[in-house]
Amino acid sequence: MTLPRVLVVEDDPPIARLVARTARFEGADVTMAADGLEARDEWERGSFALVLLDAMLPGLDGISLCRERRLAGDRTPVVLITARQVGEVVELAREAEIDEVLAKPFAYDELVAILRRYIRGA
Amino acid sequence: MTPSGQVRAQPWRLAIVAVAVLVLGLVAVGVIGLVVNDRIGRVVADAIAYDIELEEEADDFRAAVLDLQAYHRLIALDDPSPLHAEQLDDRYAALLEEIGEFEDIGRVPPDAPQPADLRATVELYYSGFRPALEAYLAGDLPKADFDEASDRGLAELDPLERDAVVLDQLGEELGEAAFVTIEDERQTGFFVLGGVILGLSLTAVLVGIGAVLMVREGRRLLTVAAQAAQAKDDFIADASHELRTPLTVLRGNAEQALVLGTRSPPDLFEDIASESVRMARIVDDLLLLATSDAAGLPLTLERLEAEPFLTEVAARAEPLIEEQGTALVVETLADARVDVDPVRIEQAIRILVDNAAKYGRGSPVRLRSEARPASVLISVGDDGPGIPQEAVPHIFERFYRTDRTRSRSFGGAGLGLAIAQSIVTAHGGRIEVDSEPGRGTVMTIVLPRPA
Repeated sequence: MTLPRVLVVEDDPPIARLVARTARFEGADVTMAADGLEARDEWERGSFALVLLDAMLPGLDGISLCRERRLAGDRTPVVLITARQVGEVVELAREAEIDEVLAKPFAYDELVAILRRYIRGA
Repeated sequence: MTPSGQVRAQPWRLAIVAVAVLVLGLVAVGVIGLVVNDRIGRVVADAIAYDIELEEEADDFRAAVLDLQAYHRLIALDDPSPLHAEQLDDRYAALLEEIGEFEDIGRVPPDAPQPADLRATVELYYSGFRPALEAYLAGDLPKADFDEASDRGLAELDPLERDAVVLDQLGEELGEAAFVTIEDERQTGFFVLGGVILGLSLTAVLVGIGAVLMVREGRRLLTVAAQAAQAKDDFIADASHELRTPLTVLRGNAEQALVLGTRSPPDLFEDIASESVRMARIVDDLLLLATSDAAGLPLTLERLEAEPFLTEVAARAEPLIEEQGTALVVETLADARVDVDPVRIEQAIRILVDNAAKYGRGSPVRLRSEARPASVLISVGDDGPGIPQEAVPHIFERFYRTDRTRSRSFGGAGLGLAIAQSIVTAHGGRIEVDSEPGRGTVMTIVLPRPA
């Protein structure tokens, strides 16, 4: 049985470690990317059950990356992780067809709930 | 937050001075007008006195003298009668009356014949001739003696006629002179009032300029206040944004540790520890900037020799710089004294040195200082890629990073240069930036040199 694949795109190492570690505990095969361009390569190459995408990234920001993937016909579920308030990004997120927004500082349970929702279905 | 927020007092002062000048100007116009009017009134009165009154009175006086003379001659030729004596008395009285009118003018020039002298001459004539006439009429005086007294009397009246002519001419001359004075006064008044009106016009223009400047200053202050409020809002938003990332790590890792218990990997706790440190540092930085905004950064100033101080700072910074794979090169150090808070200035220098190490792409970091007549320069340079031209005006802004995506790959919150600038500004100095793409960056702290 192959594990569901999750792409974690996050440039801040401690956050990346937290998210990746949680995803692994929830039974995911985690791929990590630390900037937008690296994330694009990984995203194009593999098929993922979920992309956990930081909004502010070097190279290419998360929302732009998602918009680009959506235009290319990619329908992978995307959860945007942002340090801004949800209200500030919700409009942009909807335009980029982002499925959910997770605002920092999120609760561990929120992150677990999201992972379970998308991974268990896969 | 910025020096431009200070109120410029000049427009207020200008307006107050202009209004004061205007009020004083109006009072001055009134006073000068009254003085000019009074002076013109007085010279006109003089002119009338001299020309009209003096000349007229001189004419009347002369007529009265001639009348008395003529009547005297008539009596001398005819055979005098008591009726003649009465008529002579009338004419004598008329002449005295004219002299009285002269005296009433009251302002006969000192070099002119004086009414008192004229009166004395007339009285002398009368007291000589009238008793002789009386004696002759009574038959007590022979005709020959009467004739002699008559001739003497006539001779005594002669100077009076000459005096009358003199007074007449004098009146005309003084009158003319007075009219010249009136013209002079009129012209003087014209120029003085003209000058005052010109001055008032200029003052009105100044008041106008002052009003325009005040309105402009008011608008500027409104803009500055709005900008300051916006800057504060942005600062709070940026600060909370900056704190959310480490807070996420603390919260997520801690909650995860509660779930995993003994299965928690070590890096979970390591991240909690390191993010706590990062968060504490950000809080310290924010507190420093907030203090600096509110009341100015409190400084504990000491007078130090720049050279040994900078040598120590470099020695303390070196291990951390070498940890980043870069060298710290201390170049020439100035032999000068500076008044600084050593802890704060070291903090500012360390920020510049750290930035040079971070952004210099491995090029050595150069620290040097230089003494100028009025300042001491401490500069930190690198040979890295330099700061993009469009970023230079923003590098001292809080939370600004040259990388627009706010990458934390260099670990900073974007507060370093803002803090360095707050510290240096509190010392009365400034930070100068010299950076060209591809040619490295030199940041220079310019501190005022103690007198």
